Amino acid sequence: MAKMKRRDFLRVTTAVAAGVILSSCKPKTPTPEPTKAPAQPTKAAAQPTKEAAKPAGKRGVYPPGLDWFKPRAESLKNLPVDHKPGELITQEEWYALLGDPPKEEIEAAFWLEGYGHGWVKFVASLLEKEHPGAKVKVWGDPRIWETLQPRLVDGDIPDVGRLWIKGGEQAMIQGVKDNVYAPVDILLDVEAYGWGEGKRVRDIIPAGGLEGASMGLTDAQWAMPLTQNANGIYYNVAMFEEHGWPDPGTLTWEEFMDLCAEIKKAGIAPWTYQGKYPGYFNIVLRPLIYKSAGAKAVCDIDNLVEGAWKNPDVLWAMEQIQLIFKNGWIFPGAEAMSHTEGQQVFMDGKAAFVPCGMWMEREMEETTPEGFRMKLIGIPAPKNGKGNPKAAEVSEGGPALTVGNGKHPLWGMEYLRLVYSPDNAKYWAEKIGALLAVKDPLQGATNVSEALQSGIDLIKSAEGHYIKFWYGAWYPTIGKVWGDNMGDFLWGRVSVEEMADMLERAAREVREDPTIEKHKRTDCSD
Amino acid sequence: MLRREKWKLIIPFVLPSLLLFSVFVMYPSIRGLYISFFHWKGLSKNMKFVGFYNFVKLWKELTDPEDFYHLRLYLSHNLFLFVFSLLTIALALTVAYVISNKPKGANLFRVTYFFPNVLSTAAIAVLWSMVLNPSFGLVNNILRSIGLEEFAIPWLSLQKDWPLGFKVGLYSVGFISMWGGLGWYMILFLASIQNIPQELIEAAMIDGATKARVFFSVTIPLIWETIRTVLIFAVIGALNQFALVYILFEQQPNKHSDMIMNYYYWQAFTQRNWGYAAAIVVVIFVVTLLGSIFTFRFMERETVQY
Repeated sequence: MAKMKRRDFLRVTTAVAAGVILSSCKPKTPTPEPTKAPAQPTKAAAQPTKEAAKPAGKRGVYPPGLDWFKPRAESLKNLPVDHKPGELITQEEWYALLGDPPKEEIEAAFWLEGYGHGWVKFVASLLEKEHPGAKVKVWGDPRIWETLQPRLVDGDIPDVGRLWIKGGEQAMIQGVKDNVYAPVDILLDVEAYGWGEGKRVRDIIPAGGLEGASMGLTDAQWAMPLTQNANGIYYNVAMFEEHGWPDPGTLTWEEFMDLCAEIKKAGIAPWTYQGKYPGYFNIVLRPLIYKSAGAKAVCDIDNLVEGAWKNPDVLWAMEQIQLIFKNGWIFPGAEAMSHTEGQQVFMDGKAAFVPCGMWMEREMEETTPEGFRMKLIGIPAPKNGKGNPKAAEVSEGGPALTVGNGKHPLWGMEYLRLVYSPDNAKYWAEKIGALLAVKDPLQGATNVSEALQSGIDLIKSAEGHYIKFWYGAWYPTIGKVWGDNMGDFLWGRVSVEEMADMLERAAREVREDPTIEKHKRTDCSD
Repeated sequence: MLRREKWKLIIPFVLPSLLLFSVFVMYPSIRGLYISFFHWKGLSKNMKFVGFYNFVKLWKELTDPEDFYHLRLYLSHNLFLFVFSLLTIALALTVAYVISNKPKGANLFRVTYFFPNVLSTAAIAVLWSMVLNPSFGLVNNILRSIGLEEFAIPWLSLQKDWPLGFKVGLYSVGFISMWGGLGWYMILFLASIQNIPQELIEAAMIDGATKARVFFSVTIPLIWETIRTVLIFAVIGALNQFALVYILFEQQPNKHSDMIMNYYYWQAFTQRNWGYAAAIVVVIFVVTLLGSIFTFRFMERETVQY
């Protein structure tokens, strides 16, 4: 309480001082270029401007209505609750909300993954440059969730980061329930950093990115996207050119299956896959279910509608996947290979297709033969499918970016704002070879590979129609049925009917279990 | 006075280990038991007391007519591994007996058999996942090079059926656990056999006993205590098997390879059902304890003094 009084006192005195200074200047000063680091006095001057704009504005947790949410930091309780979603918060107003940089370090705790920590440090340096006096502590390791767990239990939560809780989206949803994360809705309307005046953060995130990052939770924006990634089927371009096979991206599912038979006849295994992780084949199955059965059927699955898994179009898609295995189109031995071993078969030109996401190019970089060419395509649509044939499985890149419900959540949000800066997008395109989750992620980068470009084209061609299934994140017991049986299902040891029966049973158990919180999906049309 | 002096000497020696044992074994065990009565996601202090709910849930899953949760399947894998442990024990005993007769190169054999014990389970798993790789693995390359192409199968496959309804990958796990466990059991048996007074063996030989007769009628009874101990190790080892499967199969839950501890791990670390996971390990603890007591009692014989 005493702290607040001191802060209010400082604000008033700064306002008076700034008023004196401003009265001797021109009546209106142009908004500084967002990319240029404004000097500290600019921020100090901006603070009273904001206070003047909303002198009696109601303060509280934003967005309003999260009664169960328990913010730890005072700054989270002092957000303008009257703020209308979509209304721009200028950089100056945002800086006024931020206040002075904290005396303690801002903690950025990031999972150490394939993308490395270079970009994390790069963004930290941007923040320190933009806010003189701020200090960001960057740390992380490949098993950061283990290091952090006791701290999360204790309520000692970092300010910003990625993958603090292992277990995918379902675990993050649990983290939301347990007050680990802070909602970042206010950030969506803040002026984006470096994108020109008037553009909000929400304006520069690609379509579907915000929804995808928030794990299907609609009460608030609980996480932000990091990368743009498309899943699909990679094909060996040189092999196709050599044999005169058509671009598989232009085919219907039926034509695609015929092509697989032709490839087999040529003595080449049409497919390889990540046998020890049979779940990779979901990359083909999920879109095929959607394209065959349509958005309503996918909604029914996620909404636990009885008989959703017995929908004939869903069953048809499942049968088609089994055909790939029944027809002997899989590279021999792939079932016992790890993901990289299975993918290496493709890189070595021994198989025509492999299901994967855009990360594969980087993952296989070291063992890719010189001159190897590959392209990513979406899952071909069946001739009479009910789903949008252009749709693709585009994700925000797994566990998304989160702001902690810790000491400096607003500074965590500021860190995120800088994540989406054009400079960082360019860093990603050029140094990491992946796409940051912003519109125009290349930012003039020139060294874009054929494989990466095909991924970008796939995302573009989907025109925002992204295929999403939420049942796995919302109801892990249904996801486990796939996890347990995917290998058997692919190889036909579990029939389509048996699989559907098991999924129906799992869905029924979730439906009838009052201890499991139910979610409702409403985006049920294309 | 003497007694007090004795304790002054004992306490400094006992206290550090007692402290470590209490902090790292006793406290987590008791805490685990406590947690098993709660619903807890392990992300906050928010714990909900649910009484015996977790144990009832475990019982329901275990007795589900369709084994929908695969618990009985997981336990059958544990049992499968226990059978391999028995084979390992038999093999270790044979090897120890042969080496105790000091054939040429006995020391080399002893070191060779014991070698896998200096490797961690993780190292063993990684090593064998390379050796058994279907494409570039040593085993399949050797088979191909000698013209046995048809035997060059994916040894870690969890799709290919082998006898008794288990997959070939699980047989590989059994073989690898034999390879890894043989040396340890052998050393225990060897030490025990070498402790048998030579005159007892000689007396039997003078009485006309064959080597086999000496082995079954003199050696086995005299090392019975060691056999019993080794069997208890095998019971505990089979029920607690986790790391080998976890690493060999790339940390993926799979109903054809997982043991009960893998299920526990999945519940705790992936699903974050810490209360339920704790209930699983509490039950495993009780079963292991009962299994050990049963083995101990069942194999009780009059101790042979020499």
